[in-house]
Amino acid sequence: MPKIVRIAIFSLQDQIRQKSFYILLAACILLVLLLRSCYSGNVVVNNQQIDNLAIAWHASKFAFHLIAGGMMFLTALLSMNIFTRDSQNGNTVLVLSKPIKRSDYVLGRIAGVWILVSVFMFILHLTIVIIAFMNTGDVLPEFLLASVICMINLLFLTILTSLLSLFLPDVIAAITAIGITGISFVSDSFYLAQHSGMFRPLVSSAMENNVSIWQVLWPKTAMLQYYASSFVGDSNFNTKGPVHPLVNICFYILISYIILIWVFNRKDV
Amino acid sequence: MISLDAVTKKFNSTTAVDNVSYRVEKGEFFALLGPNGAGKTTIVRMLMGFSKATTGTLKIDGVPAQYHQARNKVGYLAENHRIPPYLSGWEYLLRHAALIDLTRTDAIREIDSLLEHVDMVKEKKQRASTYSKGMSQRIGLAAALIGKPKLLILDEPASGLDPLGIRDFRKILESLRNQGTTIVLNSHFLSEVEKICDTVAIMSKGNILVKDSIHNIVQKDETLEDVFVRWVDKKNA
Repeated sequence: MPKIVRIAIFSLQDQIRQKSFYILLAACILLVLLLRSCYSGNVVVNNQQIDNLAIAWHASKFAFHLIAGGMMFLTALLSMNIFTRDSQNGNTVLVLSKPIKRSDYVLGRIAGVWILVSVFMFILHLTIVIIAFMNTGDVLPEFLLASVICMINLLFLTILTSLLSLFLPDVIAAITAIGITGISFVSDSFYLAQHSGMFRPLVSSAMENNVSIWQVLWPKTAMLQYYASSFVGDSNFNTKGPVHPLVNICFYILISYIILIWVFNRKDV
Repeated sequence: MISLDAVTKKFNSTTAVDNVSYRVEKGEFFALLGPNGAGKTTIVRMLMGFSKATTGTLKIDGVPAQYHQARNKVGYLAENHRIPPYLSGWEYLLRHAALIDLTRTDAIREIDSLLEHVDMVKEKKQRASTYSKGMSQRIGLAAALIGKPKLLILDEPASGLDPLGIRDFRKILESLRNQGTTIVLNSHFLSEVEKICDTVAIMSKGNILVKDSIHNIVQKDETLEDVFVRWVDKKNA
């Protein structure tokens, strides 16, 4: 078995033994229990009964964004102390005293956390698909494709938070990573709102096309999530600027990973 | 087996190791002695690739120490050795074995034998958080011995061990020496070093003051402790 895979397995085992993992598990179970009730309501708008399928579709889309966004937050929290904790409890010495490259160690550790949060997110999204099916009889397979696309965001958050934690205290690193994602959500949501059917008549065409460079270059975590959610149902997707969010995030993953390896290779452990 | 060539390590304005050169031959039992802050642990950390020399080169078996290949067949026990508190000694040793590609059957056989050697069979399934410092050191020594290393680097291995533990530990090192393992030992236990080592180097303030065989360094009616104090005092004077 390749050593990276072994280190990733150790990383998974270590995460599962942390208290934070059980807090995450409890939060997820609570979320699923709360969402379950959203599907079985009698909703009347303007004296018209809304059909169950429409409710289920909207509830599922809301749940999709809630889970994907929440998992990004939790990913930052789980990633913030990968290297600090390893250094404190002797794991770094355990691995690096063996004939193992530092880059393999870093990749294995990151892969472990990423696999954990991705599997978690996928299970939660799958649960929503099952709940929707049980209540409406309709299957939403595109939901799972959207979930897989959102895993790219989680990889970005894992690498970014780990990188920041090499320079900043753990909590500050997590807050900074969440902040970067938060700015993306505010900026991209505002942009998408401008282009939605509801607001388009209110926005001048000059303002509609006005996208500053920082908005194009900023890590588009939110835009990638909106892109993923466009697979659920028949939503149109308007990307901001000339760069597709998938390309944008993959570029940031690559750059962050290269910097992380470069810094870690020069670091005293 | 080990060569240091004009190695200097600086931490900002502090020079921890200053232009140190020496060689340790295959099968040699070498002890690096010195007061706290002499630079012994810094040298060991550079040998293990945890830290890089500011100038100079360190090689293990001809391979620069910063390359991961240099740590093939190297066993290491760190000063203040730590085991992840949620792992048992058994799980910890299995991880070590997995990282050097031992098959599970070989790993289990070897770990069982090592646990007997370090007298930790009964406690092997306990979590490391319940271990005393001495017990952690014993597990750490077993971890360093997994895979039958050709070179063993031990940084203050006897710290935390009781007198019986130190005696057992000495016996293990003696048997390893007889099998031809090269051993590099950092220690404050001069009486133990005098009993088992072939060569010693005394360091102070980042410099090697003397390096020679025990027989050449320790004169008649003298102990290694006397020699150590004499050299360190001379440096401080």
